[in-house]
Amino acid sequence: MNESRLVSLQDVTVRFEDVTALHDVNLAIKSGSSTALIGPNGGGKTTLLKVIAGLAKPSRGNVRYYDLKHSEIGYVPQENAVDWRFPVSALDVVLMGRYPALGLVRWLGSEDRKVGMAMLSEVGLERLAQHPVGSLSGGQKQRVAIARALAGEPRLLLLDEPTSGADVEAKDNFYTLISRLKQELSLTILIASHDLGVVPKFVDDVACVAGGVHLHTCPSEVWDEEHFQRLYGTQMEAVLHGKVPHRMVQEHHKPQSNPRRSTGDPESSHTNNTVRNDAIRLSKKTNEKSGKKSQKRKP
Amino acid sequence: MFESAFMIRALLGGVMVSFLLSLLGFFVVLRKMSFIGVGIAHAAFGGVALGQLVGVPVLISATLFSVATGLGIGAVTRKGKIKEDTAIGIFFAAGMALGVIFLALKPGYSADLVSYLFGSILAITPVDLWVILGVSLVILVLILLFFKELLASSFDAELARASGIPEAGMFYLLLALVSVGIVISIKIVGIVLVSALLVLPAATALQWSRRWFFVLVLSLFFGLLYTVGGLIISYWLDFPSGATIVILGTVVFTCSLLASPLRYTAIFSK
Repeated sequence: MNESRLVSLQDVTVRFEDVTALHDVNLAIKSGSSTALIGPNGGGKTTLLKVIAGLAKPSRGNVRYYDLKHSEIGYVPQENAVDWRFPVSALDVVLMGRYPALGLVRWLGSEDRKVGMAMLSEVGLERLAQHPVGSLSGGQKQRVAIARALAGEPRLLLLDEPTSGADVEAKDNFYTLISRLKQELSLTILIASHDLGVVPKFVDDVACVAGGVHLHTCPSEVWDEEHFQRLYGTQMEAVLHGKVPHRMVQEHHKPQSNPRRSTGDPESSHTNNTVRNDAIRLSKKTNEKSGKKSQKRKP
Repeated sequence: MFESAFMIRALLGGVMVSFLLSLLGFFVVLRKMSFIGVGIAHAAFGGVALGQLVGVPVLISATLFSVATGLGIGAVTRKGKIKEDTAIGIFFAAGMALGVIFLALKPGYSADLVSYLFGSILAITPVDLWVILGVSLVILVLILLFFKELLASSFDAELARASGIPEAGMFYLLLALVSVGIVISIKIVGIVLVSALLVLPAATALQWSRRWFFVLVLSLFFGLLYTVGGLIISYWLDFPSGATIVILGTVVFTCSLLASPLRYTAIFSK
């Protein structure tokens, strides 16, 4: 079991002043897996990714890396706190992903440039390689950030809310791209997302992050609508609803302890409306291999 | 003009200093640390006064003072969760205050202190030139060695850290280099105005290009233009050299800002 692990977290707690962002988190990331982190805003998804990326230190507990070097972790933050007037081209930014592997003192060679261009074309931006990165659109900047992470030839890719603000079609394209990259480059992927419409499509595991982490495997079962609602109850609203403040009104329940059904339950029907408003609908068809687009619906 | 040995020394010193400060200023401006130069330079005043009080070479006492101030501002900002401008404001005043106290403790009048405050090309000795050359070469080598790490951590510190670049180390390295660079430049432009030479060349260059390589080359060019042009103008008009350099730089910067081809592009207004 341990051989296939890349990272494991043991009883990890992270506190920022008086706020506990993560509490006693235990999580193992297997090599070659793809895991979605879902949960409300402020639930600790970003903190969890930062802990794994080495950007946040656990106040308690520890993180173990199994034969995984720091430079083999590719991190794509939700939003870069960057001044986009910085005088670098898209290719320059991607090449920054090569710096750690190069080490100090050594300068970029033609091989690095080749890799940089290859990664830009992987994300479909080779035409914009020489453009100032600040002149690209939000989605393009996001893809540059992914190409930068890929340029470091990572084994583990951490993506934080990569599709926030994108429309449904862009999201679909994005996850198709990520699925392809995962296959081509044998990546292990951990992706924080609000985006439940996407989750069933390609992840192996789903982790619900709300202070603590609850891991579910076998998404085809989990994402059955009834099952899902029994699992999450009002959390489904919490997770899906983009317009009202996200809330986590109940503790996480095991399936048996919260037998709420989707019919005749006012909370559930409200949830369904919410789902429709968000133009993303989860249904049983979602997980049938043939019903590939059924979770999308135009508003 | 070139018959006078002091003017040739001033020009040689000016060329080296402008090259050095423009190179450091490239990172300082991109990192939005422009105000740090002001803080470090003013703290150097404490070092200058201390050197005169205890009879230590001013260059040594001022370097120690400035480097300590630069690293102190950096450490307080990063570790103490205090905003950079607050830290600079405190260190800046403390350095000047210490300078005033050291000055009061020293009997007699310190005439050459004024030349440190405002710069005096008459004060540059051949030894100063060798010091400037030596220090500039060391700083140049260090910047070339760590150029890509400095660039990546200036662009996005968090991402640099995430990918394993020693971003904190680069931050402190830059502060230390800027501190040393400022100290060896204050004889020419003066404590009060040296930070302008750190900021003006890169700020002007950024009006003309969005490619780091051209911004760097243009920074060096503008730095050279301001210093050499300023020294020549100050010689003709018998103006103070430091002030003339800064005014020339400000005029060229303002013209560049108005004529900038990037001013109306979408990315500039973001």
